[in-house]
Amino acid sequence: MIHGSNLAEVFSALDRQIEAGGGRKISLVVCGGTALAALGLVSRTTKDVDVLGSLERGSLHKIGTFPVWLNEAAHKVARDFNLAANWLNLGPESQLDTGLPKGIRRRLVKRIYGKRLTIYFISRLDQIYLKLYASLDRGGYHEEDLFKLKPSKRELLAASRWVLKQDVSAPFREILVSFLKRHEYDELIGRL
Amino acid sequence: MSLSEDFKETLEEKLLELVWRQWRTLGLPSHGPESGHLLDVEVLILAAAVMAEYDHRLWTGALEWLSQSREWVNRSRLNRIAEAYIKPDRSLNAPLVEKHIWQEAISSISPLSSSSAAASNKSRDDQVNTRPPLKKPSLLQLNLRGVFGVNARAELYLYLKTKGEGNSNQIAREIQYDQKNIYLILERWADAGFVSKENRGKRNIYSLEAGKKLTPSLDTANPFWEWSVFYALFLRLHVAAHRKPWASDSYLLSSFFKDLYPQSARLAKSAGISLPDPQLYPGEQYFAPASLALQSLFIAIAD
Repeated sequence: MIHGSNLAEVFSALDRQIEAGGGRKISLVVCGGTALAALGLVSRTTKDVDVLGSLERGSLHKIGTFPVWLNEAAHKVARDFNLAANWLNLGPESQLDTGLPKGIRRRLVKRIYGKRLTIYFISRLDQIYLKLYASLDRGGYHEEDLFKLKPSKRELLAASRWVLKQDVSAPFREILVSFLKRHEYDELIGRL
Repeated sequence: MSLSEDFKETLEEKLLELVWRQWRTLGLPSHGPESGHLLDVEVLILAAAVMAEYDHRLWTGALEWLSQSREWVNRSRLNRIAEAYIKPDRSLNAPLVEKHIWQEAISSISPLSSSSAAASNKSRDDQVNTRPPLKKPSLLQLNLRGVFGVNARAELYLYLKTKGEGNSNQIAREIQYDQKNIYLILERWADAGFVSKENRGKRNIYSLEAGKKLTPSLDTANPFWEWSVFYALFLRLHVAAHRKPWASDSYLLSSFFKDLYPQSARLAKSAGISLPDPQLYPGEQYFAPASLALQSLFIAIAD
């Protein structure tokens, strides 16, 4: 498992394996539990690292599939730290197609883990946007993460407006309304 | 001194000591003890080639020996074993033996090369090296080449003498020969009553029968004869410990130990040593217990 205390060691190991395997420099944009732990926003363990895409020349790009050298490096790190085989994955990448919160790139937090690997973690505000969306979709630990981030009413309203652009259907709006009522944010409903 | 530096220096010292000891047994003149183990000449040539960068005198001596004693070298077997040394190593992304070093070896054993002719003249004039003393128990491989010729038969006999028995697939893999060739020889030997053949499950198991009497018992030599596995493991560790980015990086070396775990565990089992379980030591935590266990394994086999 990955947690706040071994996260730097795992990414540093990935950097060194990339170099040992003759890989290139790469900048990955990471969201999810790893980003929460890396920025000290929420302290919890996670089994994987969710990669949104890569950052090249200042822009976020889809990766599609990881290059062979990155897969091989990740495979060795998985073995060396007893992580799941797909611990480094592109699960949330489709979010790049549906759209990201405005200004996300500007708010990314950069961490350099060696000669080859740079990770950009999404910010607290963008976590609120994505965690609200995931809470409405899947609930569970995403909902817990969202409220551990202690969003202000203003932030939750902005996030609610953004999620409504991700799914414009009436049933989805109903899910959001019900969610806000359940968490006693009724006053935000009229301002959506 | 860091643990990785200590590992690097100890391994280099131990490897050079062992390779020198084995070359002395072959007749390379130098002061020091000889080896009591059965030697594998082709593997030893490759060991000297890997260590050439770290001990030029050893490599120069080995080249002279090759020039003078090339008729004892099994060139096709050398080429087959060398594949793993001269092609880029899967984990290290580079060959274990430098291209120019390998060319020097090839040139020395070639009967047509000028360097080998020159070395032959030199040997007659200066008598730098001695011819391999074939009656030494440690040189049973060369002794058998004297009897059978430099071909698969000598290696096959040596395998059966040291291991007791085996099937054609297993033997071919371990002595680095084509299975069909080994099978045909074993069948002929079985027909001649030289080996016995026993059907176990789907395989025929062969063991020496009349052939036992051909050579004395192995009591006077240490019968360990898996030098191809031993050197493939420790020479790779040695190269990794000296090559960037592995050198001085305890995590990358730990990871490399884990890459080599299947081979090292097999060798350790044959030596009665257990290696630490890689799964119990995440990241560089594996380095300390694994490096100590590997050093113990080296000593258990080589000393």
